[in-house]
Amino acid sequence: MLTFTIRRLLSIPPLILVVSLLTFLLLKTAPGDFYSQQEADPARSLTEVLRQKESAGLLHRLNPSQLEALGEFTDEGATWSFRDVGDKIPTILQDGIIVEHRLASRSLLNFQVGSTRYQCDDEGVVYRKVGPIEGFFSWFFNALSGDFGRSYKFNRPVFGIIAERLWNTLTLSIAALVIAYGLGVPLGVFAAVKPNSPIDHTAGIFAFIGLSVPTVFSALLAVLFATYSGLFPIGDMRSLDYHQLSFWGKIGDRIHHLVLPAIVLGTSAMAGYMRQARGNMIEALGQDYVRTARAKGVPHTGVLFKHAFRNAVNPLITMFGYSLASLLSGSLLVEIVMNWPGLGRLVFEAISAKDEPLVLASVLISTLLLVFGNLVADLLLALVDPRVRLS
Amino acid sequence: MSPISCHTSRMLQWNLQATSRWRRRTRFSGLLGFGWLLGLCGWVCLCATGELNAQPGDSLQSAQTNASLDSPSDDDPPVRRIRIRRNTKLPEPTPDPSIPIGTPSPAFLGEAPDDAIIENRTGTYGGRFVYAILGEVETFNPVEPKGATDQEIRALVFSSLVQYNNGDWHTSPDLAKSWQVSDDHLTWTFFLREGILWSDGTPLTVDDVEFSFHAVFHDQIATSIRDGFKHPQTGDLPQVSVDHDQNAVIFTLSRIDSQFLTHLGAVSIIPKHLWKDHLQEQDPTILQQMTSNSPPELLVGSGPFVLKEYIPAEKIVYQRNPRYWKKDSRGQRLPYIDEVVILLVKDLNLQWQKFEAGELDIFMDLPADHFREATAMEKAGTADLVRLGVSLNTNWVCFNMHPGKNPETGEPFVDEEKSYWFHQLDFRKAVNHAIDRDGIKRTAFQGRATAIWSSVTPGNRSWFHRGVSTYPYSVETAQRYLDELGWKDTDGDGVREDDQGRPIRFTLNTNVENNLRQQIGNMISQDLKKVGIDVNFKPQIFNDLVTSLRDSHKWDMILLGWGSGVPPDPANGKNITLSSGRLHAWNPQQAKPATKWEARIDQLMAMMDEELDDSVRKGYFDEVQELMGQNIPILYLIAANSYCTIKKGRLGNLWPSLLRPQLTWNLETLWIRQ
Repeated sequence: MLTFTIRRLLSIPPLILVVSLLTFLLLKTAPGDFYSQQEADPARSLTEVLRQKESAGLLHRLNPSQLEALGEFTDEGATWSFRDVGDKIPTILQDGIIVEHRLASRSLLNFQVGSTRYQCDDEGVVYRKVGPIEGFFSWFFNALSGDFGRSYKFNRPVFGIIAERLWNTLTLSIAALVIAYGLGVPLGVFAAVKPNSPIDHTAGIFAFIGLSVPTVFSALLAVLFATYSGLFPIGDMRSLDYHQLSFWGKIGDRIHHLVLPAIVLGTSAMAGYMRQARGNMIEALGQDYVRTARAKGVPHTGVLFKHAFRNAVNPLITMFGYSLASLLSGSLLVEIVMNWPGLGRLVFEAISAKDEPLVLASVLISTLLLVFGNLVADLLLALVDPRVRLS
Repeated sequence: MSPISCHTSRMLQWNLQATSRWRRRTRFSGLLGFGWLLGLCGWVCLCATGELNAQPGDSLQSAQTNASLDSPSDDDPPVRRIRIRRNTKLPEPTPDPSIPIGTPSPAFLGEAPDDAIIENRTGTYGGRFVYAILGEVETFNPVEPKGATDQEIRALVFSSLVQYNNGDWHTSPDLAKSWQVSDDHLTWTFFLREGILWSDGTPLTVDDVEFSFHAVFHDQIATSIRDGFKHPQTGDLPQVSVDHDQNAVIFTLSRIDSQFLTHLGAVSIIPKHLWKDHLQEQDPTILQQMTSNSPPELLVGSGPFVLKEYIPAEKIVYQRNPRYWKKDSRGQRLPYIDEVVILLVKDLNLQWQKFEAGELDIFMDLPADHFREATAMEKAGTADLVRLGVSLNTNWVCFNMHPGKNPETGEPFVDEEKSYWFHQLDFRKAVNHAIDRDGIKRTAFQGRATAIWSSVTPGNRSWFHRGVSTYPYSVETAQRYLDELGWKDTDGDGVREDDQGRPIRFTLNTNVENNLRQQIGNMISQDLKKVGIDVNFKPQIFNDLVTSLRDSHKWDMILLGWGSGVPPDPANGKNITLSSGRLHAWNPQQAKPATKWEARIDQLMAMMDEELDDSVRKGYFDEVQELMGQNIPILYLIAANSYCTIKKGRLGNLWPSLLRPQLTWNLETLWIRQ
């Protein structure tokens, strides 16, 4: 079992390298970047937007001597070159004649020498576009030394931002998981013991409702219920006067806020576990060893839990491993609709705004969770089922 | 009823009815059951399709359903009635000496300086003011303004030399008590108020002001505040110097700049004693300071409030700055409100639910789909609905007239035949006549919008111009223009062919994130089909759209909108109007103006920059608007009406404004009625 664990752990670094490279390339392939929004803002000049991009590491500023080294190139039908005159900004020559920076910059907004792309701002400062592979490896080597970059949006190290919200999401997902397993598995077992009974059918109907109603919809219903009944708070994780409450008051307040979102998330997941538990149980109950146990006079509960349930539980444990991986991302829609200050919302916005360092960091965390979730599930399986051997 | 509420009643047109929340609750419990649930589901479905729909067809349908459900409101009946709300000026609140004073908590420290600004207001201390914003705090650092929300939040903590008054649309003194301009309009001297303290008790001096401008002008700091100060040709920045004897800051400009006061108002003054170590010559670290995880007590400012607490994705809490320096007409120090809580709510529906449940005091920028609920609340006497008039934000369509070629493939950006059509003024006129703005108003905006013909909407009382050409809806006129061009439907498929027999068929794009624009786009493509123009409407992701506008120039017709800045001066839109502008949408970043009228617009905009007299500047910009109206490179369509709601009778001294932030721009003088 130890060698199995070590082997699994050793597979993590290459996995992370591949996952982060793919994420990075996918982010780069889609058009636009984090600063597209700013470029569409009439109040901002190109000069400032390019400067922002430079400080984010998307562009690399060239000094006059590097520019002179570019030599002559053609763009929009003219031949251009730069001459280092010892100033901060070099002189720009169009067809051998000196042109004003402002005029030149309009033709040279985007130009290409060889396969490298360059951009020139209103003041004649030239930047080289950092390509995806180069960008990835500079991020990667920084990450090896523990620097995962700063979020473009918040201008802060990414893990600080994620840590702020990690706990909130975990609270919600774990509460939902407890509801899902705590209700789903017993209900499934119950339904399996008396298949095709009214209880089984009722549970089946609820399971299908749970499976088919999207979480967004039930979250909206929950918000409406909170508004019109006044029994529960409308969204949020804690009330405005939270800091004035006593210790128990704080816990009560948190639970009060947690009930609705956890039920919404939990019930939709519950249905799946319930169907799974029911199916496995029915199958196990039909096996020969169950009949043998019954025949030799083992009491009913003993047959159910010692013989049938232990055999039926394996797929549920595997599912548990996967649910660990979705702890962070599974609650996205509920977080948005019910204003839960969690990670899902943050990451979703980071992806749509293309805040690359933040996306990469969260992808790393999710990958790690997936790997560990699977590992935990495998170990648990070996623990529960002596037939499973890890080697 | 106190005089103030009398005045409010005039302003907010309130309407008392004896329905209250508890009655709705009893109705709820009475109908509780499966039938109720079904009804609710249906209703939520309607909301959800209105909010989350992804398919253009759906959105149109849901809009029509909404429109049929929505009985014509008393406010804007969907009939043709010209109501231009220009000059709707919401009145300034007046003081009332009979209001109790109350006790501030936390209490003020020290004395207000003799130089303090005296606001002509009265109010009672105390209370907590709660509202919600959609955005997220990116940073508390005032040197680089990020989104609009960040700028609004920042104004609570920091002050500038001058401040823009959203109520009467004028720049007024703030930290500077007065200023002098030299005869050549190049030297501006600002005299600072004496005795102002930072919220940590240190005196605010001219050195702080100079330091703040050095930070903004620092060559290695990326901040868009600096842009406005730059000389348009040379990029030179003003020289800043201080005169300790006169307690003055002197700016020496290299050109006459009509917008200088506006630019000054954007620079928050920061305390030198706390920030000085971060303004290094090389690689300054000032932008990494005061990010969203810095301890709140380090955010020292001279605004009406100080940051008390910030919890990411949940809330920002401000409390009174005990050393704030403004006073009211009774000599009481401002602000009146003890605590301001800004909730960070990402979902507009949830924000509305919270307002309806009374958790929020105000709701700004009321979206069209909540208007009916807002009027219901107004009738029930639980909320006041403020009708602010026509918004300054425009919706427009534009044709791609870029003449260039893709350098890599040698293909023209715009197909040759399309370029030929789009360059025909008569074609653009025909399209403009063919668009049924009134239909868009009725369907997409449920009657609450106004047709526009220029970038300046009638809501902008300083810059609106009546002399702009209009192109009223008329299928006949549109058809006549197209017939005269010789573009007729020769093969009977309902699509016209141009004089060379090519069918007039192109794509209209808009950003998929904006539901309203999707509805408008659908209606435009239907309108144009009626005159024989085949438009393929294709919403796209915003980033794709920006990329094609900026780099690939691969688009035919586009539907977008401009928002308005504060102050709403057309000089802020230079990036759009100038032929060299990045957002000169139809043909951006021209090396030389492509047409005579674009050259004239460039010239007029330059003249506006150097003219200080606003009435002369208005004359110049009227001509710009006329030129744009005659040549219609951009077809301006419609502007929504703007509304805000306020919890009934909750706030005193409200002075709502069309300009953002509509209700909270004068937060230091608002007070809470208990």
